[in-house]
Amino acid sequence: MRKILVLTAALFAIALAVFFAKSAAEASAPLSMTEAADAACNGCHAGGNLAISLPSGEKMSLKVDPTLLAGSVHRQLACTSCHQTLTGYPHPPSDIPSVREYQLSREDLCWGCHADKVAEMQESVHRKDVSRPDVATCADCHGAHDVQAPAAAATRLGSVTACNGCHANERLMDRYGISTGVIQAFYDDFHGKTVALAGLKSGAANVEVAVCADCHGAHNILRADAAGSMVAAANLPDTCGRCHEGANANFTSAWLSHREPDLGEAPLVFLARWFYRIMIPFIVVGLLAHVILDARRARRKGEAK
Amino acid sequence: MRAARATDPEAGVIRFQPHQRIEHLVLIVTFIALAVTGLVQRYYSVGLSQWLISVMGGIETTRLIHRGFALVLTLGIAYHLAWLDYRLFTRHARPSMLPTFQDFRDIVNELKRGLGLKAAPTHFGRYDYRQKFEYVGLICGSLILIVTGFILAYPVAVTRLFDGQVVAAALEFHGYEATLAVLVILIWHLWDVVFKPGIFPGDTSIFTGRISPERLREEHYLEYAELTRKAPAGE
Repeated sequence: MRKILVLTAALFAIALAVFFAKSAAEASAPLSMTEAADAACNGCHAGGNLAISLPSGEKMSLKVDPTLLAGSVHRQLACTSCHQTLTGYPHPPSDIPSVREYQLSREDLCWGCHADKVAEMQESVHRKDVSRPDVATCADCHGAHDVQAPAAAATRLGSVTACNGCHANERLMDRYGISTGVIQAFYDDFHGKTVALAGLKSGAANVEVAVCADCHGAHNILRADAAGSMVAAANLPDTCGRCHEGANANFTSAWLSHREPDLGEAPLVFLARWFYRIMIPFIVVGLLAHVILDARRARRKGEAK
Repeated sequence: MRAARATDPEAGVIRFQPHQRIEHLVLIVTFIALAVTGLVQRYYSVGLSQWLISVMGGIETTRLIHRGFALVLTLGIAYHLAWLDYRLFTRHARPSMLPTFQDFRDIVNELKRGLGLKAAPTHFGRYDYRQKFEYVGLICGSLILIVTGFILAYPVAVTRLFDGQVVAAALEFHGYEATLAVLVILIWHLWDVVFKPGIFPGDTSIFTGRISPERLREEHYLEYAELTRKAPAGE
């Protein structure tokens, strides 16, 4: 009997210990300051259609989907890590003239942490002349609350869409003499097809496929004809060689620089294409004519019997 | 040519050796697999292509299957050419599958008959001109596809020796040649061996290896005449 009592007491003690240890562990992780603050922000900004009208006439949404931020690479940051002046309520009055001005003004904040990107970004074709109204801001390529890790499969595949955002815009590209056909040329070649199809497999998408940035660079992107460009003829063997080990100068001309083949630059490709484009319809018409004659003859033969 | 064994009124005339029938079976599977896994890449934006690619387990797996069957096709063509070399140059067999001038005369004659003009019946040998066209087309097409496919699979190695334009051109040749091959098979071969009146629901001689004496007489009169001359009636 005493044995049973001791055993019960021991079990009770263990149960108590486990219970308190557990609640102690829970208690040691209270809502952090940032989470508490974020919760306060979300109270107004998570739902609804909160927006302000800017002097430019634009309407800027102030809605922030908390799941976007939670899914981003910046998920450990608090709202006020970036929105440093908005620590209290009511907020100080807005001094934002336009969406674009706002995006540009936010960049100092990005560069505060990502200082290593500033120099190459300011040299790049997308930023060199910051007076131009079209220069790309951090948010144009990376988004804002949904910034993703650059090496993640989804980011790499999605980056092509980010480039297309401007490069598929004919009015915009005309200003710089760039063809919007570069996109289709990419998709029609091996790399682009893989990008277009990589998402079809369930599970992890293939990331070992060249997206725009792999050949052209990202923050360091230069005009394709600039000497320092990753796609300049002299640098191409190195650029291709990052994936295609052993690539030489010959190899680089396998890629027709986003251009339709023509007689001058790629006569073999041009002639092969047009040889088949003319021959195939001829052969198909010949085959069909043969089949039709055959069928007619068989019918005549059947009628004669 | 095995005339004594060739005519057996019960079973029909032997037309294809077992190894030829196996070659054809392997080719059916290989051709379909290569056509499907290749065309879905060529016409990648079509919904059906994307569905097939996801069914096959993604673009990487699709390409792996394509290259696997490409190896089978390469070995098959190599075997066939080696056998051809032996038959033609060691055994001095007649190249009955290669086109001759007579085939062009046959085409004109058949065209006249097809249009309902007056013309004598055309007498074909062991293979008529369509079978020869398909055969030569298949061998040449396969060689083009094998060579250009190799270039596309090993571009770095190829461009050690050749200009990169060769790779871009290989993609053109490979895609168009494959499209042409599929069209010829779908339009002509399937008509000839499946849908043609008198043949429907299918010509079985490539599977059984035999053809009926009536059909041999009708479709390959010259061969029939030669066989019956060598093996007189009553045997």
